[in-house]
Amino acid sequence: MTNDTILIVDDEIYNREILAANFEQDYKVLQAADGAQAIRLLQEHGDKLAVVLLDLNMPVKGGYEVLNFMKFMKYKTLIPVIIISASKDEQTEAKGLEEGADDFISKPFVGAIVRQRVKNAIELYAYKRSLKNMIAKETARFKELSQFIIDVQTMVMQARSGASRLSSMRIREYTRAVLEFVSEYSPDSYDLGPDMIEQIVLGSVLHDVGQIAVPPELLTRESMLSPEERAVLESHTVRGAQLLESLRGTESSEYIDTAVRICRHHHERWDGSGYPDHLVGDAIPLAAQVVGLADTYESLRQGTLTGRRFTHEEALDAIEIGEFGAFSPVLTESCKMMGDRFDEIYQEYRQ
Amino acid sequence: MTDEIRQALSDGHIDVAGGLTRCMDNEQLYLRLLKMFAAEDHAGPLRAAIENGNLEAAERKMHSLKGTSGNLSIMELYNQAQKLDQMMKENIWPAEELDAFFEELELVQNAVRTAEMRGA
Repeated sequence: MTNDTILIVDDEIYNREILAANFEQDYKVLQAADGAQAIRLLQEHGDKLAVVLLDLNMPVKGGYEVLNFMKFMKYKTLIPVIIISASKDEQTEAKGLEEGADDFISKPFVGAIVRQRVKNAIELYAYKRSLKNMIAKETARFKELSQFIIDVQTMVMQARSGASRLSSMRIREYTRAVLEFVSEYSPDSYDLGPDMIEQIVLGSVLHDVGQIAVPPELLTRESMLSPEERAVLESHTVRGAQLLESLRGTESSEYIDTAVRICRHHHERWDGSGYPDHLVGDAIPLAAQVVGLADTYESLRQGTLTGRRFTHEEALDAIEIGEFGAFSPVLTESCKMMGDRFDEIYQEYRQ
Repeated sequence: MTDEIRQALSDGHIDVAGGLTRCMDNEQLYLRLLKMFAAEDHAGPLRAAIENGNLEAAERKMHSLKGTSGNLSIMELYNQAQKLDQMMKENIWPAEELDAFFEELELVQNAVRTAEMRGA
């Protein structure tokens, strides 16, 4: 993708032509005589644009409407906008920048200055775009890595307890579905950006890693355990957290922090009925709350929690009434609204 | 550009050197835009807007004339448009200054036409 085109938006042909003369040696130039035309050209050529030079006062649709459209349709994150206005008062300039323009230039402009400022903005955004590509590649690599961790881990676990690879993948996907739902429908409840969601999703894969330190036969006969045996089994939470802590290098890593929290606290419950620390409410990290919910649903469907396989509806009911420990109001409510997604995931990852 | 053309444009208070620089020294483009500006009826719509009390349209037109005259380096017209743009924003409509502006506009358009007759 090359961004080699400049979009000039101004209702006066004189201004468009003069600007075009300043750039046509180095760029392809598109012209729009009002905001509506500009929006059409954006839709058609958005992926080729290096910058938009935008007049404010125009008939049909003004500059701010173009700017708002660009923000709304996410063009603005990849294309800089420079306002070129006949106004030179501070309020207009401040408002333009506040509304998201990258720079403000008054008419009549000095050609050399416009060219340099445009060049600066274009270079900055080219850098931004390359960073974004890098992050997208990293994220893809992260996901591959996540799959690899699942595979290695479940190979070990399967040998010990019969936990299946598909089960790990389902828990990961329930976790993702809940987090995405909460971030969209209840954005004020928790600070959940795409990075944080990805971290928790990746961490969810490791939630039971501490089971490596538990004798295999305890893992497979949970229902008939002595109190001492139960304590050993429950220690998989703390052991998992310790294991990950011991792998942490000298650098701080948010990812490991998140994974540690998930390991240690995914059996905590909102009402304090969980373990190991009997945390209550939002003292339980959100990552652990969500993975706990995903793990509970999976265990109910698989019958590992009660010895009987619950149907989808039974599992959701049990979660809603807190039969095996309560979940937060936000999560319970989310489950009611998007819980059927769990069943879809359950069916999707069967074989 | 011949001296006769340059002189005609200077009579319209046009800063030819400045305008050319802004046009990347593309003389042909600059002259084409000036001629276009001279041929366009700016006064008519502005007068009509003022007389009909459509002050918003009048303000918009003045604002746009300010930007255009500035970019074309039509200096005296630009200076007057700048003052009037500010006054009109403050809802002041000075008859005398407006008359002077229309006069200057006519002077500019005639000057460009003269330049055109001299081969511009």
